[in-house]
Amino acid sequence: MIKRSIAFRIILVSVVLTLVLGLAMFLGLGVGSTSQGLSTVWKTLVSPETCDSTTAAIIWRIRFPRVLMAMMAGAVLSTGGLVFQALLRNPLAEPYILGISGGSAIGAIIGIILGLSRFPGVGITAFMGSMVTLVLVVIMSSGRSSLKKDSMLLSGVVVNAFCSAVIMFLISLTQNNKIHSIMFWLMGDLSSSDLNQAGILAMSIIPCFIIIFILSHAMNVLLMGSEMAHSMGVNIRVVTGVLLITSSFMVSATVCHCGLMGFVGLVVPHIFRLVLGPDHRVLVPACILGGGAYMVVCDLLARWIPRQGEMPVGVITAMIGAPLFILLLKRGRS
Amino acid sequence: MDVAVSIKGISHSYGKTRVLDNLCFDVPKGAFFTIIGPNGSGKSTLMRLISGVLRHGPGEVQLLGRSLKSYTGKQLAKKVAYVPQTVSAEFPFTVRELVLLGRSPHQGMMGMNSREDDEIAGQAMAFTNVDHLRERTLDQISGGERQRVFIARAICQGPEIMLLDEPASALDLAHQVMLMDLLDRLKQETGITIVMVSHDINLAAMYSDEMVLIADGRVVKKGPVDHVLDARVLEDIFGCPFLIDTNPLGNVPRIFPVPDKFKSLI
Repeated sequence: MIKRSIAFRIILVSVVLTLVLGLAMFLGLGVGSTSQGLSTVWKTLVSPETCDSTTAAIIWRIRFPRVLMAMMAGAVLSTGGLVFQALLRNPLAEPYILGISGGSAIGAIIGIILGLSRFPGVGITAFMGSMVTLVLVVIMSSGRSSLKKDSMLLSGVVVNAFCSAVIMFLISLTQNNKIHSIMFWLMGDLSSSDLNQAGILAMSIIPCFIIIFILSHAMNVLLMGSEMAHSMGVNIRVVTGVLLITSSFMVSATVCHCGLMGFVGLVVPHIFRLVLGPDHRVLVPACILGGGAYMVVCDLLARWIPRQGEMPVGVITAMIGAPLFILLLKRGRS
Repeated sequence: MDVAVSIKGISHSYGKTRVLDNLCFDVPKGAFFTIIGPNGSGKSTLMRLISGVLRHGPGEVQLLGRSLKSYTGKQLAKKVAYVPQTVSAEFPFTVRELVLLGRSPHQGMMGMNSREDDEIAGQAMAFTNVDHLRERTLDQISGGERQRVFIARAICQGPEIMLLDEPASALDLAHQVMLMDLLDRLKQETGITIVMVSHDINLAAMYSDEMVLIADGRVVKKGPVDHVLDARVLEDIFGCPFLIDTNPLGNVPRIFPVPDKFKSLI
C-alpha cells in the first residue's frame, strides 16, 4: 500500500464525500408529497427563470430547508458519536445510547411546556438537560481506575430509562394540544424546518466542528489511555472538558431543533472507521460530510416509503442502527 | 555524577490513606534503575508521580536538575517517556501510526508528520525490530511485539528518561529476556536513563545498575543491586524467608522465596 500523507488523505476524503453529499441533497430535493422529478430539480438549479414559481417555491422554501436540517443533524450526531467514542475509548458510545440526547430532550420538553420560544429558550433548557445527563453518566461509569466498557453502557441504559420515564411523566401532565407535537418530535421531526431555523443551527454548530477538528489529533493520542496521553504532553483535563462541552452543546442544539434520532452516531463513525482507519484527523471531516449525507438519505426514505404522509426519520435511523449496535456488541465480546 | 531523577522527600495520599511517605532517592543519569517492593508499596504511584500524571503533595521531584512542576506538558513529554503496564487495543491503529503518535510532543496541534518524523519513527521501529509489522494493527500482533511497539513509540518522543511499569510481566521467559536486552541496548547506545518498576527481582538484578526497595511508602534500601538484595531485609519486608546465592551467569545475586514445605531445610 502506498502511504499518502495525512493532509492528502484529509483532502481526498473531503472531496469525495462532498460529492456524495451533493448527490444525496440533490436526490433529497427531488422527493416529496408532490412529484417533481429529478429533472425538474435540475432545471430549477441550472435555469431558475424557466420554471414556474410554485415548483421553485416547493423545492426551495419547503424541501431545501428540510434537506439542510437533515444534513446538519446527521453531521452533528455522527461527529458527536465519534467524539464520545474517543473520550470514553469505547466504539459503542453514542449520544443517544449514553442518554445525552434523552437528557436534552427532557430539557427541551420542559422548555416547550413552559412555553419558551424555540430559540434560545428551548435551546438553553435542552443544553442544560444534556449537561446534567453527561455528568451523571461520567460519574456513574468512572471508577477509580478507568472508564469501563460495561459500566458505561449500563449507566447509559439507566440514564436513558430514567429520561424516558421523566419524558412520559411530563407528557402525561401536558395538555392534549401539545402532546402530538412532543410525541412526533421524540422520534425526530424534520418536517417543520425553515431557513431561519437552519441558519441558527448552522451558526451554532460550525464553530463546534472547527474546535473538534482542531482537537482531532489530541483525540488520537487520548485513545492510548489517559495516562499515556498525559505523558505525551496532552492536557487531558482541558481537551476532555472542551470536547465534552462542545459536543454536548451541538447535540442539544440539534435535538431541540430536530428531535431525537438514535444510533446515527454509532453507524456513521463505525463505517468510516472500517474504511478509513482510526485517525480522527480523517474521521472528523468524514463524519461531518458523510453523516450529513447519511441523514439526508434517511430522511428521503422517511418521506418516500409511506404511501401517505411520512414517518419520523428517527424510525429509519433506529431501524438501521439498533441491529448494527447488537452486532458490534456481540463482536466486541467474542 | 549527574542525576536524572531526584526524589526529595515526597509524600502522597489517596484520600486519607498515605501511600508515599517522605521518600528520598536519586537516579543517576544513564543508569538502568529498578524500583522493587511488595504489592501496594506505592511503586506504581511513584511512577505516576515521576511521569507527571499525578501531582505530588509535599516535597519535590527534580528531573534533569529542574523541578517537575516547572515543566509544561509538552516540555516534559520531550524529556520523559512513559510505557504503562497494559494498553488497550480497542481502536485499530497500525503499528506505524501508533509509533508516529510518539512524535506528537514535537509537532503542532494537528500532528502533521514531517519527513524527519517519519525517519525517526522508522529508526525506532528498526531498533525495536517491529519494522516488518508496520502495517499490522495492534490486535494482529503478539504481546511481546506489542510491548516493543510501545517502546518504539516511547523512543520517538526523544526522551532522556524512560519510565516502564512492569514491562515484561505479561511475557514468556524468552520474550522477557529479549525485551530486557532491548532496554539494555537502548541504554548503552543512546544513554537514555531507564527507570523500571518490576516484581521479577532476578530478572531486574541481571540488568540493573541500581535498585531501590520501597515498602509502605518508604525507602527501605537503595544502591547497587547486591547491597539492596539482603535476605534478612527482604524477609522482613515481603514476610517470607529468602535464600540468596549467586547467579550462575556472573557476579549477580539470585534470590529464592522459600516455600513452607522446604522451611525445615534452612
